[in-house]
Amino acid sequence: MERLTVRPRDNWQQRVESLGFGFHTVDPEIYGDATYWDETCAYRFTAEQVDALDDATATLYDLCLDLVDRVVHTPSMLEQLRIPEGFWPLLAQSWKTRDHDLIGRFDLCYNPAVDPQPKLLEFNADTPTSLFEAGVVQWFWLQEMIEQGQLPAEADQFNQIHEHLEGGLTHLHKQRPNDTMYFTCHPDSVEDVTTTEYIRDIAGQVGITTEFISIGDIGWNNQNFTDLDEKPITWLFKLYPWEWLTREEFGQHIAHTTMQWFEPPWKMILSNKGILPLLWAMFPDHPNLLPADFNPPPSGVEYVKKPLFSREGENLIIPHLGIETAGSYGAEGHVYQQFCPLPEFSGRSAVVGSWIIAGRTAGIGIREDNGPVTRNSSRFVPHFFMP
Amino acid sequence: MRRSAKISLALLSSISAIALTGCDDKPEEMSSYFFESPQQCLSTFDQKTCEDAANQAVETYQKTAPVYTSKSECEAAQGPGACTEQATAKTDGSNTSSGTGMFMPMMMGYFIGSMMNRGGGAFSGPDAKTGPYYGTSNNPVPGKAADVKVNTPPKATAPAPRSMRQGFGTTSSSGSRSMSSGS
Repeated sequence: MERLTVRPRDNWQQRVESLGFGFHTVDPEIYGDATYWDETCAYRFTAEQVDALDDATATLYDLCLDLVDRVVHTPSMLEQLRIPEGFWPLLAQSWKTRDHDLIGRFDLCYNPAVDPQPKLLEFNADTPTSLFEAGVVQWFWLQEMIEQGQLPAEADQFNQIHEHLEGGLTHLHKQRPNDTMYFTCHPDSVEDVTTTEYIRDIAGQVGITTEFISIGDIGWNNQNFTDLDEKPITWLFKLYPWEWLTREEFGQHIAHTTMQWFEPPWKMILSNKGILPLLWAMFPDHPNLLPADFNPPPSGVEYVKKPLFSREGENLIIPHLGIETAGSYGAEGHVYQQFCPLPEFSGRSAVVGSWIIAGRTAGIGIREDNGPVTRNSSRFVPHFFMP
Repeated sequence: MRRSAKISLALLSSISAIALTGCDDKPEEMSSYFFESPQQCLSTFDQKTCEDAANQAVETYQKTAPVYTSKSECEAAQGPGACTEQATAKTDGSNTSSGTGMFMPMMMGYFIGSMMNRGGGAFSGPDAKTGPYYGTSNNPVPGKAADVKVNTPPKATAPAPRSMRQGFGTTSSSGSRSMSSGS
């Protein structure tokens, strides 16, 4: 794993914009950094390193499924995860029928110079973003870098995100060939809209009839969730967190409808950082896990305190570094995870986001920041490997 | 090779500009409502809109409706019982009781088309189209503004159950949370 300085493609802004990437550069007033997509550098992996990431991702997904299988039948664990009791039967049913899941991203602490085994930082199992950047934007980057002779023709990328989305959605289309799949998110976030529309794009290409609806426009007619034409919505991809849906006004209706959700209700368990201590307790000393607990570790252990629900690196506390990030999460409780130093290159810390798409390992995207916390503003840097 | 063999995007590359303006992927479209009278119209639009549209529709009807030299010729084209004798217009706009000996389809009412967006019902004045509706009810023939499709009035059919909305999406718009709900 190396960080190389590379020459950006000519007119790279227009190139990525033509793909539909509308936030390669962001407002520095809000994010503290104008650059989001950064192709002045790139990460190079070896084939063995890609194998290690691939294997760890498959393993972690299996561990997570084993955990779900236990948690759905264990009220004390559902309580620890702060899942409202009214949703326990829905979760159990969703798991019993093995409702399909579509996307998830493991954030990994991977520093092969120190430890060959990637370690799980957290699992974005419910509303992962950077899917489009990883699946499409960096794919075209590599393609064009090869075409321009900047990278050798045999350069490859761990990135079958697009292909696996096609495969997963094709399978879903076969199951419900005549139904409309709705896609929803908050309309004011370009990032969320892009991620949602990317998946909808592929769904349409494999033959699914699709509709976009803003999250607030979803209706309730005392029987079904509805679209703006009052048609029932029974098949919904939502880039909107389960823990928000369940606690909002219409949350009370969720358990009383026949809706196929993406991600499915059982993902409520995995989108919660409470799985970190539960996984560690169930699989102690697993090489892809970091020690974690619901209580603070003994003194002398360097740890990170994370809220059960948190996004974009908000409300993290790393005592030995004197770091406390801002945010509005944490009311539901915290977990304590052993600190894992991220690899640093030229003063920047890198996190590997590793995708699981329709149950298959699918590829990676690298986010880097000038500190140990990966935030909303952390840059996305493309990668390649030499086979 | 461990990357996708090929990538094609159908929707996204054209959607980014729309996405930036708020997730609205539906094109604006013309919808229209048919009314038999300005009174009926009041349930959907305001009084001025209804009356202006009615007056304009009558004017359009008088100027543009087809005229036939005989009742049978008119009915052959417009349907049995659909025709009336053309009235002579006075200079003040009202009609006299004396006919012209010519026949034209009866005006059954008028419709108002407005730019509808995402199912909303707002009437946007400058974009509105209005026109007469004539012919028989079982064989409707829209007037000159034939590019507007004629809908039955919302009141004429049993109204679908209206959904409550804004019951989701409230978390991210309140408080200081990051606008993105992704992670």
